[in-house]
Amino acid sequence: MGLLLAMLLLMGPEARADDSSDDELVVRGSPTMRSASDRTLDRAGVEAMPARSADDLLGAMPGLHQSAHGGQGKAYQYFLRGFDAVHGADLAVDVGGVPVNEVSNVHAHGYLDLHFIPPVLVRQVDLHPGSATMDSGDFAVAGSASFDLGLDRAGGVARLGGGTDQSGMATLAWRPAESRPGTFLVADADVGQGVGMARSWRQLRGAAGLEGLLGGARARTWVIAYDGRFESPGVLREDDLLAGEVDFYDAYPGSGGGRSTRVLGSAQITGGGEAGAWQATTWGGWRTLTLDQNFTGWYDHTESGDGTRQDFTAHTAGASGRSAFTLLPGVRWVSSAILRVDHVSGADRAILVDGTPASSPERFTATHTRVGAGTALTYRPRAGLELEPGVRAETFLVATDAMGLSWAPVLAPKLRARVQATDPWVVLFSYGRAFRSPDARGVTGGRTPIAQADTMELGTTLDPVPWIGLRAAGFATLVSDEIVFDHVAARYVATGETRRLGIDGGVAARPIDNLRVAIDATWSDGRYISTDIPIPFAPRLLVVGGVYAERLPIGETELTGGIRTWFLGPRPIPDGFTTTPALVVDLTSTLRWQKWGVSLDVDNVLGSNWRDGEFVYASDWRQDDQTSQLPARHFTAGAPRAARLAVSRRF
Amino acid sequence: MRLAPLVAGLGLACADGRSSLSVPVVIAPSEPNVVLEDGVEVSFDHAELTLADLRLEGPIETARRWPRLSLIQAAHAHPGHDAAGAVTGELLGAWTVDLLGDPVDAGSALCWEGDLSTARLGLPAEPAATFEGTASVDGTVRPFSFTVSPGVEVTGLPAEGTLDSADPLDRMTLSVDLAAVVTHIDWRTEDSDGDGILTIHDGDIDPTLHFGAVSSASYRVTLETQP
Repeated sequence: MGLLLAMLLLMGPEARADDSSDDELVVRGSPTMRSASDRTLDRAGVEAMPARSADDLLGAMPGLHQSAHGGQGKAYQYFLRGFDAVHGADLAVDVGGVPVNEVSNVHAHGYLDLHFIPPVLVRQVDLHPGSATMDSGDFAVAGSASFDLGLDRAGGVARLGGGTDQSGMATLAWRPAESRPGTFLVADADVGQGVGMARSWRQLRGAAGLEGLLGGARARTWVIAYDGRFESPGVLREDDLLAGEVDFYDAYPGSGGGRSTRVLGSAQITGGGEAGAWQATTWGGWRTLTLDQNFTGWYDHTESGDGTRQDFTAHTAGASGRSAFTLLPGVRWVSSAILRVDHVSGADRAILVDGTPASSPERFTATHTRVGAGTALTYRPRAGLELEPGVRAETFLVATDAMGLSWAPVLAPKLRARVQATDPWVVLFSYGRAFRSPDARGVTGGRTPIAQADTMELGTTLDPVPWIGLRAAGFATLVSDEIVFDHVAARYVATGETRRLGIDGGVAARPIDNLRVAIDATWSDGRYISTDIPIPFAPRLLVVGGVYAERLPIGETELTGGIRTWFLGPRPIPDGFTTTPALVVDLTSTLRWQKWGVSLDVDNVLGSNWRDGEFVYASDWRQDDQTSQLPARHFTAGAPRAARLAVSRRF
Repeated sequence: MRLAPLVAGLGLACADGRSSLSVPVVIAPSEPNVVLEDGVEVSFDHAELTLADLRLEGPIETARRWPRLSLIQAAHAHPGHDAAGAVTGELLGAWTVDLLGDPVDAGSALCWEGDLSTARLGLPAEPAATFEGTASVDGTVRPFSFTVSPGVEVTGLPAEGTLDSADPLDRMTLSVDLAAVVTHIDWRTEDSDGDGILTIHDGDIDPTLHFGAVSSASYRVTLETQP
């Protein structure tokens, strides 16, 4: 086992394995080769993070803010280090090694819907702003993240709760004694009406996993099934709010909603010997998505309304492999390859306010194929200096009925360097190119341009005393084709070349064991290169501070929880407008005593009426005889104050 | 119309990048006696026109600052053909105006601050516009009585200037150039019914008057700050 662990140590940054005991042992390929902004949440960190879904856990990434403007069930909108990463177009996520960004999703390319993951099943989250890792490729324009699944503790747990938002949740999870974390059964239900209008949701999840030894290798397989229905409150006009004609958490008729269904399964085998270690993963899945939305009322269609319905079906399958070999003492070679095939079909149609179809659907069908490989060499030319040059090459093939076959090759160089100036002081440099595969609706046949982003980061970490860590980084990103959401057309559209400059810093302290205090701040300035106009919707300033207790013993009890405060500064939006800043406090806590646990989660502790999103455009929600064409400010309401209490028992 | 809440809503936006402001709009009286390029002198005894829904537009750069943002691409502007920018100010309503009378207070336009470039103006078909008077053509006085129902929206009205909440305007003036309205008419055309009064049924007066009435050259929006 020791040899295997040693070999696994040589694997890439996302590779990890667990030993056969229940004691947690995380093995990483290059634990020192990280950027100053990388972050890892283990299970205790996951539980201490105020998060009601797996999506929320991404909020632990420095500089990342997310918006749930579509209700509980639609993919979040992500903002990361000056990027509006929309619904995942610029943020790559894998779950257990399976890439989950959806290509050519009818709502948004790269659509990233993590609601299918049972929160109890998240063992670890690795967060990587930037694109310097060898595996950073498709959609990793602003950053990437990896979720590891499994149950931390053997045995069963039942959890039941409810909330002031008229919600109820129930979870059953079981991991057999003497089994590995990857062996589990999970059933999970989350339903609620929400605070205000048109905010109900119903989410059902089931998951099963099996982990064991297969010959000399470790084998894992899992499958997750999810079905979610949700309402979306959509937008409100600010002038209607100020006139008292709507309340902050109201919704206009026909504001929208949807249904999301997904089944995803994976099998993975990891092995190794004297010469190196290897890992192979294969996956397959199916999903459907229906989204109803109306952002402009009756502005364009004064009789039938501007509501639209998007339907999407996708089948995905793929395989990946990775290996790590020690070539010479202190020199290791890591490589990986991926093949992914997605067959997608989507449709758009107009609907009436009651959801009745009002037009024939406009359909599209496409088959995406992704073939890629990467390699990196890590070596230490002298003491205190570690270098990792790498390269990733991929080709995307997109076949559509209308345009035939399109292809887009891309080559992405990488470089990471780490200088240990003194024992507590480290300087880190990274450069990487990431890319965004072509959307099927944007290809024209033949060779197709591909959006690329080059990110450079120079950072440093300093631990002046063992319990305090300081970090700071400056970053610059060039993007060859920026994507912006046009709410009027309900489409994401490519808008041109951009650049971002920013700084990211933070301090974390552990004044006592199991207690962490952290503050992170990210400032960035993103602009279009040709016009110097600010990139719309991209955040400029995000400050996050929190106190997190990670299994903190208190007498005979154990406290896990956190109180997290974040401030999002004004963001530029089109035509010279800016958004209203937001200050929000969220809290989560779980007190465990013997086999019992009591959890309290409070969203928006201060009860502030913060605005999740703001947009300026013309709309008509009253079917006025005289339709104003003057743009007006619209907003989507942020999460209201709501408390949820749950009781759990282990068995 | 929901002007009050809109005013309030726009007012709140002062700290959010672009302020809003309310600008009085006055429809100015027109010059009753004009001399056309071909020497014809036209004197109006009556000129009544219905105007509606004034919309002010920013420069095209505003709408095209993200060149591919729009799914439907705007035409490239070229001399004589201005591509409109986004609506940045608006005064909804309809006003039947005696262009030879006193100035008409049309109300206040709600605007976002910023540059203006062009404007749009509705010309309802009903009630019809009427123009009466005399034209002096080569020493001959020819009475006229025209009635026209444009029923269109005039686009590309000149409306250049900058709206700045820190330096507010006193008013915005919408003016109609009657010379431009009638300049395309062939005043030497035959009086077909022989009653001595030119009407739209004579010669090509109907289409040429219509052309002048809906021409952007016949209207202008000027921003005024009184000393």
